[in-house]
Amino acid sequence: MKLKWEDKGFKSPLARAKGLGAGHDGTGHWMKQRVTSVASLPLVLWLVWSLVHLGAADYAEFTSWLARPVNAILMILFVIAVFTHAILGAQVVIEDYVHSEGFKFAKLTAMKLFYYAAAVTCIFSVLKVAFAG
Amino acid sequence: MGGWLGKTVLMGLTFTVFYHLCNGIRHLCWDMGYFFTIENAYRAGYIVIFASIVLTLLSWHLACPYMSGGK
Repeated sequence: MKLKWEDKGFKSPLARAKGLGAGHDGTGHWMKQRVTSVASLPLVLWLVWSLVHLGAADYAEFTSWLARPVNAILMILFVIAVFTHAILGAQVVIEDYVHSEGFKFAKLTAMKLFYYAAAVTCIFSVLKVAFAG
Repeated sequence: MGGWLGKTVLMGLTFTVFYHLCNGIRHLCWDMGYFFTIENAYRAGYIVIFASIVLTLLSWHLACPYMSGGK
């Protein structure tokens, strides 16, 4: 039996190469997921290590730690890497488990908007602590 | 956060972070073609759980001197 995406009828070789089958997407998503995971790895270890040392820090100690350029930069990188990774991961869950096309689209859009809002809030918070105390 | 409830939640969070991290490394290994036999896949799975527990306990052990009396 010939699968739908194998149909050559109206497709040029390029269109077939770009057609990408039922996933509607090539290896881009997969690769992004790997790259963000590898990027997150040292950043998570850095954050856990730092939090271990900040065990008894009060608000002033913590903000002065976060206000240091190295920490602020790493924290922003952490937020970007982890949120991108989380968006990609949540996208797969929704695509796999929400079966109604309309609801799936709504859910994916809502999820991405929410995650972007959360990420921007995190980055703004770090910048505020870094620049305004 | 300093109470027993907060600490329990934070400890659980530490474990989930480390579990996700270790299992992510397991998946990256699969992507590179390692651990494809059933028994190796299982073994790596148990190593992941064990490593996550060890890393969680290690983090909290290291954090202990910095947490002066549940602030």
